[in-house]
Amino acid sequence: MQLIGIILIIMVAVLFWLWLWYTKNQTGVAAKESGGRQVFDVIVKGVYSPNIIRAKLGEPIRINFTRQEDNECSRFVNFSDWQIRRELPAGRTVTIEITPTGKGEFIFACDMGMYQGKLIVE
Amino acid sequence: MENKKTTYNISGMHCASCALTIENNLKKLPGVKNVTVNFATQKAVVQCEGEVGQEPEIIAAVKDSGYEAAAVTETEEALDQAQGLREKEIKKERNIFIFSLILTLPVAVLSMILRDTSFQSKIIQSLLAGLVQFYFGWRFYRGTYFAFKNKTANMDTLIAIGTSAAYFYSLATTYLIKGEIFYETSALLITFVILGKWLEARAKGKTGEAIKKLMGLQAKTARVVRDGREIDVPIQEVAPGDLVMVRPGEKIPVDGQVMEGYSSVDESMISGESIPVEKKIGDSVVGATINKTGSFKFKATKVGKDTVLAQIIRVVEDAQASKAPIQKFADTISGYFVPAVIALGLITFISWYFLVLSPFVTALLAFTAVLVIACPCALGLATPTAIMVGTGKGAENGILIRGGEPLEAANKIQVIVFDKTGTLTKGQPEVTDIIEAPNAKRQTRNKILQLTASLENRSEHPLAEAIVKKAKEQNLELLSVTNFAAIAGHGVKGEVTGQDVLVGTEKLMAQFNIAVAANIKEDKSRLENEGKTVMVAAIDSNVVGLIAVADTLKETTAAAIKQLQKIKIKTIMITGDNQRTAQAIARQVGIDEVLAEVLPEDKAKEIKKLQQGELKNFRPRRVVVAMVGDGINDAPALAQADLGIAMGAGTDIAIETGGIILIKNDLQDVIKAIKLSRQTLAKIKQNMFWALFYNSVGIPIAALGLLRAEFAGLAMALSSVSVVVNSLLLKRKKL
Repeated sequence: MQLIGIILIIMVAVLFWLWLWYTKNQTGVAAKESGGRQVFDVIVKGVYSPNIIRAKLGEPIRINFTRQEDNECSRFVNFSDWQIRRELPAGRTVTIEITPTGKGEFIFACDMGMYQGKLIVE
Repeated sequence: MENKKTTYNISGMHCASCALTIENNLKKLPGVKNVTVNFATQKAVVQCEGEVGQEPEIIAAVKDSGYEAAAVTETEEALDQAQGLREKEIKKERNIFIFSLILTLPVAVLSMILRDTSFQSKIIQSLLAGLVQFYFGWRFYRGTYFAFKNKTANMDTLIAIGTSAAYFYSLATTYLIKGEIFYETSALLITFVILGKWLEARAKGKTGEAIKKLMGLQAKTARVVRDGREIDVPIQEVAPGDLVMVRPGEKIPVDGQVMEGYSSVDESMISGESIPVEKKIGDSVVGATINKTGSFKFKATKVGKDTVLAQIIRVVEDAQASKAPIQKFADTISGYFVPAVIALGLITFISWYFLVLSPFVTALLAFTAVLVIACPCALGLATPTAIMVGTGKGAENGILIRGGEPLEAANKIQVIVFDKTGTLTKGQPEVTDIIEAPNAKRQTRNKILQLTASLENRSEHPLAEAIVKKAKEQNLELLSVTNFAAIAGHGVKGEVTGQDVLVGTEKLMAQFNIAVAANIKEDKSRLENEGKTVMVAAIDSNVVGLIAVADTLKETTAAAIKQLQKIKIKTIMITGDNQRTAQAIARQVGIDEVLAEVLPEDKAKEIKKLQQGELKNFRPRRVVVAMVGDGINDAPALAQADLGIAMGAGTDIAIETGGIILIKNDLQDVIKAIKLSRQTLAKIKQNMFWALFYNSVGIPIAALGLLRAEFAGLAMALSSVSVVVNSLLLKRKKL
């Protein structure tokens, strides 16, 4: 019995590690180009969808958030690297514009951090 | 082609047929696709073809029909809508909670109080808990589904898994296998989480009240003089240059300058200053303040987005949307949270069931408890809610804090540098002493003042202005001057009523070979030691007296400096004055150190030196320096400082400079700003501590099986609420 337990715990650990590995290697969604801008449409419904977006350095980035729910948790979206905190009224589209000055991975999240997305600039 | 919708506020409609008239007239305009005029809301929605706005034409067309129109500004409309939506959301959340509670209570009574384990009781419980689970708890399944579709997990996942485990196990033991039931766990859990969401939404609404209050200050209409007639127009139609009429008790609609009349104005809503301010011709007035006693006319100078109120709103909005640097830490933690918690829950279950060999139920309940207690929600709310309440409270007191960074900087201040003129002092030099020389040949003080003022009237020096002002106050006539000459840096000379008059420094006297008696010199150095600038006056080559001019200190300066010293902040004065004058003023206000004879352009350099620790009694390390100035001629120094505090003279604020803007010209507000920053940061830290403590203690307790799952849910719900409520307590603190 104990042996089964230990094996199961190892399995859980391996699964968790696999999940970490998987999220690290997610490639994310590329931008639509529109008038010299990289545009992303992100639906907010339980999660940010897509939750990983990939942009090129140099061109301004425009992210259109549409919050299709009235869950209190997702009311605000934060880009803490740019000190941005914006309210997303339910059912409306809010546009956030960013022009990163360097490459990197930037997290965007709700106030509580439970909705998480990643902006990869390369 | 794209259609553009614009909303207009219509005034003057008194029946439904008015609406129809406007509608028909607007439809005739080229490019207008569709028009709806709503009599009830007094609004018109116009749909035009293309991107080009046709506002002027539309407003004109409405006017031609005999009504008034103004485009609804984006923010106003958005605010109204968002406000209504929020209230609806909160109400909905409350109703869901109440219904969920009504269904949950019988389950809890049957299982926890009556401990009824009969089959009937089990069936009733399974039905009621089932309703809660799948009707009110449906949102958690839905959230889980969306997350799963995106190959991720979220908070809903945790609650859905946790409650499902409890519910489905109970369902199995009710109908299929032998064992205990615990429907109350899943039902109570869902009810508690919904309760938490409702309370949180309510409390969060309160954190943003300051902005709402500020927006509500805006006047809706203005009485403008047009073509010689006074007419009421919507505030949006007031243009710079318009002459606006204000009667007692009315709100001043926009910013401007008084052209006619006299009154006192309550500016407390903008500056926090409770005493009404006198307004006479030439004085500036600020929109949203209230006229108390008299009527006056003023010329609009700033309207719309440029008014002081609009600027204040913008600063507060930006500040409330900003995050303190401290918050990044919370963001990184949350990233790996949900999967880690699921893993932790599974390990808890396996350990209990396979390693400790405890019953299945114990293991399952511990698993559920771990899943639901682990939400780091409170951690994420710690900063934004405190900043919203803190900056909002500041705005109500005439203290604008430009977001999280100045707030943190204000807490670390070690040194505050004050600009002298206009900050410590009133910035308006005044004649303080006139001393006649003993052998002045019967020249009275007034005579000395009259002659010097006549001469100085031709000069543009600030000191000259003070002398002329004094003469006017004494009702002395200014005499005509011939042969006027200014000797740069030293003084002036000229002929007044046939007498040679010379006013200036001791050096100037020497140049003209005029002897200054020893007792006069004594008086002069005594006055200089008091921080005054002293000029010698001579008539026909004889010294007749001394005129001392000083920039008087503000009433609150000394007290403010003392209070800063009490909270262990070093105070420094920076000025272009000479050492002796500067030291004298420093003594009067009790300031710690003086940086004298600093040219305006070198102020920023001096700040930098201070930051690098080139200060007595400070170890050579980075010193956190704040600079207080008027924000106009010391902008570079304010920018160089770790925290720039810009003080407004009345309501004329240099709003672009400074991390903190004080609307009132009162040094006490520097202390208030620091206090408020400290209180706000303390709240953030308390919130963070509580949130972290709750998670780090809660998870092990839950894993050890010491916490029932439903109470874990309650703790989770209340942890977020407690953080928001703790932030709201900031409103009650005294400044």
